[in-house]
Amino acid sequence: MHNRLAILRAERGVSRAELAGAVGVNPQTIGFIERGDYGPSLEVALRICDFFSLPVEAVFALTPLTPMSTQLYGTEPGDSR
Amino acid sequence: MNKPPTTAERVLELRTEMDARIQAQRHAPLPRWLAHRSTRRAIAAGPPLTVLACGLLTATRPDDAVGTALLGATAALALASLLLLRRASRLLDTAPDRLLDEREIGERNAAHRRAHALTIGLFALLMIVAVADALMTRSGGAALIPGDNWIQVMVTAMLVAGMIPAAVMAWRWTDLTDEDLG
Repeated sequence: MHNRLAILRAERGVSRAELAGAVGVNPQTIGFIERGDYGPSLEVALRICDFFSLPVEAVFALTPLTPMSTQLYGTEPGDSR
Repeated sequence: MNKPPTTAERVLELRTEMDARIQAQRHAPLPRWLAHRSTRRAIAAGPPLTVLACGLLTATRPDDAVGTALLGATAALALASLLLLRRASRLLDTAPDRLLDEREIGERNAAHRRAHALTIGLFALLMIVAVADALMTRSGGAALIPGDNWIQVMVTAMLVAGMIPAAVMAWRWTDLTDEDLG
């Protein structure tokens, strides 16, 4: 499973421990989810999405996620304007 | 005047204290040398095999003071190794469910399944040794395990079986990042 947890955490300045505490898992588990080593249960995934106030499809996907900059501005890596 | 706590309150208090102590141990930073898979796998495989070898070697010796001392040393090695293995797997095999999250419970259950199969394999091996020992004795040859030394074999088997779940957990753990090391 692919996800945007690391970028969302960085963007909002949330530590692993803070996110872990909010969703009820251990901080190492957040690391496992970010690296794609563990697919969380639906309950934990929904809690994470609730924490970031985002829909599930914005955080988790079965296929690689489009970079957020591409989604926002339509640019690809290497594009120059 | 304060009423003395009831038994239920005291039990709850003790459980909370114990949980806090276990959590503190689980979240204590791991030494860097334990973070690498190769080191953890060496720790997971080496000590149980060493304990098994030492125990079987002791059992094949005559039942004397040296044998008893060897068995004591084997038990001490098993205990020290078990503590190290539990440290390497952050007490995953001993922490109660209420302190583990879904990933850790899943990992522990998967490790216990593997450990169960390994324990069955260990006892199957000992069964083969027992049959071979009986056949050799009946055919007039020397016994593989002399006298009452099957007790030492069983003690060794129990020590190794006790180490297997923590060893499997340490073996299966993926490499930890700096953030994981906490």
